[in-house]
Amino acid sequence: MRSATSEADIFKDDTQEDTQKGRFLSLSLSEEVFALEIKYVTEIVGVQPITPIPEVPDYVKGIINLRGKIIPVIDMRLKFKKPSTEYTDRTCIIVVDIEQVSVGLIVDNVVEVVSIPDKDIVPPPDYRTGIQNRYIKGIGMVETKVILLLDCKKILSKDDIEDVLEIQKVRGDLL
Amino acid sequence: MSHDKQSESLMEMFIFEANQLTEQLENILLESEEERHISPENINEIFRIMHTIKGSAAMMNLNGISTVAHTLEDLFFFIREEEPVVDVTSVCDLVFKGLDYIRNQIGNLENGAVEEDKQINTDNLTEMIKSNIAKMKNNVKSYVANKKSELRDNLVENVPKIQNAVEKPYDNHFKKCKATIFFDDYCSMLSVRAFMIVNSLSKIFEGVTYFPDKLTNDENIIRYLSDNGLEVNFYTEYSYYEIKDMIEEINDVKTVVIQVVDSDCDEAVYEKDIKESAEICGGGDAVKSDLSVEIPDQIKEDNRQAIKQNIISVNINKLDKLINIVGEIVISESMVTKSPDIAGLDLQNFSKAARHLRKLTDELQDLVLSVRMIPIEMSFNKMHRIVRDMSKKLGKEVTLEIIGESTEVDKNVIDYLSDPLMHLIRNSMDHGIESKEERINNNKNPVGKITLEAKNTGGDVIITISDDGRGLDKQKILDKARENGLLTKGENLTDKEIFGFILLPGFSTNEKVTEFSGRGVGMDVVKKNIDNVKGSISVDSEQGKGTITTIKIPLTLAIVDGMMVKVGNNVYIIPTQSIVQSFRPAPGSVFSDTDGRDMILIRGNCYPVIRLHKLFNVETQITDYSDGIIIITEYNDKFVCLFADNLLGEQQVVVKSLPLYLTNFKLKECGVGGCTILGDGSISLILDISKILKSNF
Repeated sequence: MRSATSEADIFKDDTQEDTQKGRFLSLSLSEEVFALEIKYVTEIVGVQPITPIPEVPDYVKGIINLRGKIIPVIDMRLKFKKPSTEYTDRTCIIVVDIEQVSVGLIVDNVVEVVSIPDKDIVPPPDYRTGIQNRYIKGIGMVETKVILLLDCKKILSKDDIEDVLEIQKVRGDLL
Repeated sequence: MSHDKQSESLMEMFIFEANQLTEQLENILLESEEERHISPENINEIFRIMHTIKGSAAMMNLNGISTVAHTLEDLFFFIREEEPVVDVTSVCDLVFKGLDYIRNQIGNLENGAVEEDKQINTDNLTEMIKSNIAKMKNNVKSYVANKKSELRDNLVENVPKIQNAVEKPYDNHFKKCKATIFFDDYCSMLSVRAFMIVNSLSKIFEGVTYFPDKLTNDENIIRYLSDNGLEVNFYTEYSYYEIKDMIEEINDVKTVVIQVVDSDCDEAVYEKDIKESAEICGGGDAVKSDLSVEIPDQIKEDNRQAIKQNIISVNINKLDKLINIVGEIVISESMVTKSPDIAGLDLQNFSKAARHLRKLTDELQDLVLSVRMIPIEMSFNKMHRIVRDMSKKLGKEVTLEIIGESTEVDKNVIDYLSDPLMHLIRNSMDHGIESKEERINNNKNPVGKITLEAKNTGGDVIITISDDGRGLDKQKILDKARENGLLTKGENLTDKEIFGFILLPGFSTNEKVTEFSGRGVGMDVVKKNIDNVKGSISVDSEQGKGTITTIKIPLTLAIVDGMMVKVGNNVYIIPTQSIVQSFRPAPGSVFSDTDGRDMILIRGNCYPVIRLHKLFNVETQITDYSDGIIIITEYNDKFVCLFADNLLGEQQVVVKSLPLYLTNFKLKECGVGGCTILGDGSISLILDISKILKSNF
């Protein structure tokens, strides 16, 4: 029984990976266009009432009720240290599911699904000093446009805890 | 693949059944030991249990278990047949040893082992049992001789009676019968079917033995079964027709030949008698030339399930999912019926249907929650065994009294309870109860007593473990605490605080470490486990009289009775059980100390006040104390007042854990215990008062 399901899962994953390989969901955040690997995206919803939660960095806006599932939402503008704006009709929450952790990403707008073959992706420059590019996995070219490919895993990675600790330290210093 | 699946589910069934049986067996043994007598019913029951375990273990190729069960079966067969003078304690010891072995192996299997652990040797055990049987045999030999002749006399008297009784030809008590059962021609898995038949027959008849005696999937055995049939010997008081009917009811049976024999009589001679009497009865009933009974070749459904199975075991994860979904249904139901789109409309039929729906969803919710509730009995009954084993080892006589074992508690809670209970009982046995001599010297009943009690008080279950032992030595605890530098608050402590020390990690006043306790780990583990289920524990004791440990645990972790409080635009839930009182403070009643901390004086006690909007960094219009409301909350005798905008009312909420991603942050530490979805679909955070107290004071 157990082995049967896991086999089926593997099979499913294989086929999905094939059809989804090289497919990205592009989104806009202020001026830039970013893209996420589509295999992580489970759904896209409009902005919903968000319940704020205490003791989290400002980019974690709170939690939403997605048909009974409670999902934390991250404002990508704040996450990337860009100025925040009011949410509008075009603002979307992209729900991603990465290694069983579900998170909603608040973005200005979802643009389209694009295919970017591996040959059109170049790695980001290696800034040894800066940490600016740690969420970028690569830079893709679609026709003449440049799209920044986001590394979903890094967005949710535990590295963020360092941020939290930093914030708490600052707060502690202020108090 | 499919074969694996089948054997896996068979194994699961075996484990489930074996666990049930061993538990049943243990209860019987404990009962018998207490009465110092094994009643005939219990002997039969033990025999039956061993027999079933033996058979099913052999079927699963678990030879160790099967051998042990077999020898134990022999032992009880002997006890039943020969009725020797039984030394209950030694027999129970033996069976307990066998039981432990079987349990051990089953435990291994449960943990995923495919085969038995061959390293555990069964020879010693079986030898021991066998020598015990031999010993008893010697004792009863002469007795048996007497009995045999007695039986013969009886028989002589009985035979004429049989022949006279035409209606019920074999109407004397307990005859030995022999049934030869032939199976349907196209029947597969003969050995399994044969085993099932034996199994169901052993529930009806006494002393069932069968040939071939090893019903494994061996080809030779299967061939024998299909050619010669299954031969079953048993004792019964049922009449020939009743036996016939019973065996006929079993599926896959083509024909059955029933013969009545008697154990202590020459079979051949007696069979002749039977034939005669059979002819008498057959003669009245037209032609039934011999005793074989044709069973119609009906294809019935497999009767394996029909045997019992009133209980099914369900994976707890499935149950959790079910509860979650039911929670969602309850919420969506109110989202639909209270939808703003239909507000103010007069919809007669709709509201009728909605009412009906509400009733059903409420019922569904209650039902689903009750599924998770199981009586605490199981955890309690395990303690009997611990008390028994320890009283033997320590040479103390102790009785265990159990009160309120039918109290129902959430399954999750029970899982956390077993260990603490065990530790507490061990502590009572080892440290609490004095030795026999000491008790006699102190004018106490030489038999110690431990009472385990559970009772339901609304939202909580209170479990008390009390003993009538020597009690805790306050001075000793104080000294030890001083030694370890724990007396930071000075020497003036209440009794409760002093006894509280023994719950700290590594705190043991016992000079020497024994097999059972004294390492100072126990009470710490107890406290941790109880904390895990959001319970509390306190110890009270009177020197020379005994110790009482009280554990208070919530009935369930899935549902919380909560007070909804509003702060700004947010709604928070404070568990009702931690609320003491709420009130609107009079202007100026809240004052601040030099560090700017707010506090309030209520009935002579000064409590700290925390503004929820500040704690959670929420914007609100209400910042003046006299505009809002103060809720006094309590956890473990510590109090804190929370300031909120308003109370919205009480509600039962389904507790949901916070999303995984948020465990990266220190939400839990700052006092958010979980969250829930309210009737309107919005999310509300549930406060954990213990954490608020911990992080702020």
